[in-house]
Amino acid sequence: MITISTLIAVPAIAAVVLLVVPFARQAAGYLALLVSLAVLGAVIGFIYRFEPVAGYQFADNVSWIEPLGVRWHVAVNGVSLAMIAVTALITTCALGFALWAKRDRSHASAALILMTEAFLFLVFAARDLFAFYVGFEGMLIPLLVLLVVWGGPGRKFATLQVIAYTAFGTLLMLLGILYLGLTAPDGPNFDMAAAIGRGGDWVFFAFAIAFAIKSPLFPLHGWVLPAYRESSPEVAAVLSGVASKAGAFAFLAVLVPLFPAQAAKYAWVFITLGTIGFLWGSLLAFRQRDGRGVVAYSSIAQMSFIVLGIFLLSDRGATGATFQMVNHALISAALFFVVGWLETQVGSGSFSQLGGLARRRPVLATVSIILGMAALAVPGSSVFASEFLIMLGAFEYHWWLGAIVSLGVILAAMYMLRWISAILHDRESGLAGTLNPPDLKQGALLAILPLVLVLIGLSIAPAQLTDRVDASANALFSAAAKEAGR
Amino acid sequence: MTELVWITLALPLLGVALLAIFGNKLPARGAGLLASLIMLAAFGAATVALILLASKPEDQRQVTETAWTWLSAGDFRVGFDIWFDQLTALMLMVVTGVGFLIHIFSIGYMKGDTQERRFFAYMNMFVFSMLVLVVSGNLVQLLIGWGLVGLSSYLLIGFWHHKTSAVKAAKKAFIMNAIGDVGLAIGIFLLFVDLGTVSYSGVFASADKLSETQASIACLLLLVGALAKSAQIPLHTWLPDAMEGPTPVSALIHAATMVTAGVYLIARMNPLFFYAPKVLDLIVIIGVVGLLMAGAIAIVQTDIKRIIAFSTMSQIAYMFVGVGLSAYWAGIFHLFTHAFFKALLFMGAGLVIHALNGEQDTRNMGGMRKLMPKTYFCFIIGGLALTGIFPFSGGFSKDAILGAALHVDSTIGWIAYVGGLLGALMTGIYTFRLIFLVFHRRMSPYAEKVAPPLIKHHGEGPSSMLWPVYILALGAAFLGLLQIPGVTHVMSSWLEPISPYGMVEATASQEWLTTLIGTLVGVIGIIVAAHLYLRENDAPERIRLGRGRLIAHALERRCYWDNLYEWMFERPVQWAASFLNRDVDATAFRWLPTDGVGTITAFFGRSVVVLQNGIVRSYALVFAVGIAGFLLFLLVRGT
Repeated sequence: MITISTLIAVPAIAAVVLLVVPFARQAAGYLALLVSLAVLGAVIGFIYRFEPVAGYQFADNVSWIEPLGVRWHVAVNGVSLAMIAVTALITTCALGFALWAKRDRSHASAALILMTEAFLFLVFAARDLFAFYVGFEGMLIPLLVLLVVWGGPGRKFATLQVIAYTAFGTLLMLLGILYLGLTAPDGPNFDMAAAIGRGGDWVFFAFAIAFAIKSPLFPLHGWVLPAYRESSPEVAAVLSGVASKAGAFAFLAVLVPLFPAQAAKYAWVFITLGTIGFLWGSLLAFRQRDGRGVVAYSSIAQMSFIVLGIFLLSDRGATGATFQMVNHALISAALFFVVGWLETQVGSGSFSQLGGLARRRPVLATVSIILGMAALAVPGSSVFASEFLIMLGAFEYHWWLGAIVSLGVILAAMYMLRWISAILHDRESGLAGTLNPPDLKQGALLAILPLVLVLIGLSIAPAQLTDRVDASANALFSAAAKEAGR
Repeated sequence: MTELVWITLALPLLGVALLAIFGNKLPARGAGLLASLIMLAAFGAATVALILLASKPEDQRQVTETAWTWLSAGDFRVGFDIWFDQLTALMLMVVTGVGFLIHIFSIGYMKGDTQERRFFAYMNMFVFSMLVLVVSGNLVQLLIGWGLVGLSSYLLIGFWHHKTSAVKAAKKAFIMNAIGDVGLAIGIFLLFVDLGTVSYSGVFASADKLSETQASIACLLLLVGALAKSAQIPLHTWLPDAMEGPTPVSALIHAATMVTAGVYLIARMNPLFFYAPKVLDLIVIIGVVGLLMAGAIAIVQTDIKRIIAFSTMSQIAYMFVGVGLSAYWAGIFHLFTHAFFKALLFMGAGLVIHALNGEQDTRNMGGMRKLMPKTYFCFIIGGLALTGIFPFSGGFSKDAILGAALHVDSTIGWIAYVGGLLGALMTGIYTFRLIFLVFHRRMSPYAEKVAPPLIKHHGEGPSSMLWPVYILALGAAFLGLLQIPGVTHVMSSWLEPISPYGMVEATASQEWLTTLIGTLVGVIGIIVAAHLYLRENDAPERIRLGRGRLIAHALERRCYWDNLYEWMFERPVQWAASFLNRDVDATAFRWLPTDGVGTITAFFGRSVVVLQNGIVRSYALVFAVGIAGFLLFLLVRGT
């Protein structure tokens, strides 16, 4: 039987092998894709074996660094399994897209993507704070290398920007973890279960700031635009699709259960910031001049909205936020593939160089419209289902909160329709007119199609997901909700 | 019986799938045929379902069924349901029946367009969405159908996406409808918080637990959705622009089916609206103001489709008056007849536009009656039905609404009665102004040049375009006979059970009196139109530039609603977004933490350069040093 530890180890080992063994260029890419497919298959196996109950399952708990009380403790519940599943899917698609795009030094780029996957799995499965720290910080290293080596012309500045933000958060969280681990009653103990309720306000905020930067939560979103704009599309897909989820996930699965009193006490801070960020990102997405800008600011909006959902400390909020994390991961990754494909075909992602591409390109048009409509949460889509839950939760919290966040839906319609039109509508103009790009097909399409199909599947029966995560999500916030008197 | 409803629902979705996957392999004509056949099958299934429903005893004519749980979170559960009763059955007939005829018409109308397959895929998708809306047994699924018809409408308004105006109109329609969706969604949240359920049966059963304030707020929010979808004041400005879409789209979506969804919603939710009498009064007022305003604007429009669009808005306002007066059956009856005569008028207009090679400006028409006698004849039937002249269908249904107003005999009732009759006068004027401008008078130079060769070559249109028009003309002429005051009462008794608290229905004498006055007023309208527009004369222009210039200016600019929204919402939002993007976000969040810090530290000693050299390496180093220090610290402490 495959364990969670194997799941983490396989991509990590494959990454090392790819870096060390001198494979032929294409062979390395295919091998990485094969590994990620195998991992995806194993994850699907876990979904089948998963029982939709509150507790953590498939636990591996062995001593890791004995004298320090650090243990290799990994396990999953419904929420983390959902994140692991979407990570496995997006990694596969990203490797597929990289293969299509024929990156130079492809063995290294594929290895780094696999390494990111392994670290992300660790983030989602870790039940030990030290292991969590390794995953949370470790995943940035391959991502930063991917950004600075394979990125666009402004990659150095973007990398600096990311580091400036995250190094700050990292330091704070490290101090927090140290404090929690060392003040354990019976010697050093980094197990999460042992840390519940022991931290004070400053530890809470040390964690919260690190998570808020990674999510990103307004106003700590400054690194997002340069990072998403300069990364290669597959890296941007991983960054916005799943790396950002590490932050939001940590809010729900680490911060809220470990600090129930503070989560209840300061929930209003995050609800306020989440609301502002949701509207802020949506408004700014409406003024961007290229596809990446739109996806970047819509991501800021969506992630802020997810954090808001988490701090409602309610059934609708937590389940909706988990579901929305999955949806946003799928959509932002797929959007970056479409945007990246356009850039390779047209040579520019600027709206002034695009337009009129719906003519004679039915596949591109269909995919763009499906993604755009999903992103603006057209009723009936899976995003509608998750946003509906969060907004219902917001409304249950306070009617005016529900009313304010509902405005974000109208803004989302405005910026996504603008994006669709900029690519597809009017006459072919700018470079798109002179270069006459072909329709979306084969390689790039194969990377996008799985994401679109999963989105459609989740639109037909979203309860398939919510039924599986509901109990787990409930268990995560129930202590905090009790503290809040709800 | 329920299987037939599921089949009706599944067929158009199957059509979309077939057209999307095998569309490229079909010959261009095949797509239209396939989509039409699908519609015919759906119509057949819906008809049999209706017959089966009618053959049941009256107290068993309401069936619900859940296919699967759609969404869940704790005690919130929503299923994918069907709710099949008299109202659903009637709506299924309208959507599939009129939908089928319009699909057939489209085969001829869209011939030669390179994108026929995409067109028919969208049309089938629209029908599917509309069916999801009308068969739903809970409010969330209703909202899903609500949103999906909006999506289909967006796709079809912007069908010719190389036209900037079409794309703009499509976006405008979508965003205004998104506002309605949000209102509807908040209404659903409120009902769930208050009642703990979103299913119709649950809401209806516990609606009496709501205070009047709660019920009124919930109904107001549902009303926001209804106003947006049905293009009523103040969310109406998208409808005239929506005429950028192909004419069959205007007939199906923006006349016969989707835009009447607001009326359906209010009629469907009548057990809830019963507890919000003030909201019902508000609906009547909005209806009266809307029908007068839209009727007045229609008189000065010059685009053939926009005239009919404003007429649609005005007629839906009548339906709002009907349901607002709790004469739900009358509102739905008018919805039913309107679907026929308005689709007829749009398709007649489509034939004219076709014969004029796409021209839509009435000033470039005139004298078409000699070239297109069949179209002219059908158009006259549609026009008489629209004006409400006895014994055409629109007369019976509109007078049922006005008769109910007379029957209510309150201030609101009298406002509705007088407003409605005034509206009938305007209807007569704008309808026959349109007919005179298009079919009578001297032929414009443009029409003289374009139309005769086209018609000589093709006739008035292929039979696929003419036959649907004939059938609709039959409906427009005779469907009113279903409900002759004091004689037949098919509509009122069929729909009576959908309202547990009873419906308003006028006595036969009140209705006959209304019919008499209504027909008289309509005829006066026709006479006024004939006086002004039957022959070329400068009277209309004199009024426009003379004493009536202020009113004409306001009406030609559609009472300034678009300007108002531009200055109230569009520009402020754009300005705020640009300001925040350029001046706040870029400075405070992107420049300050890095370059800003860099600039400041550089001022003291250029320390940032160290970081910029091999930044990733240094980060990895920081990370490694961090971990190492951490371990070291633990080890030291552990001993």
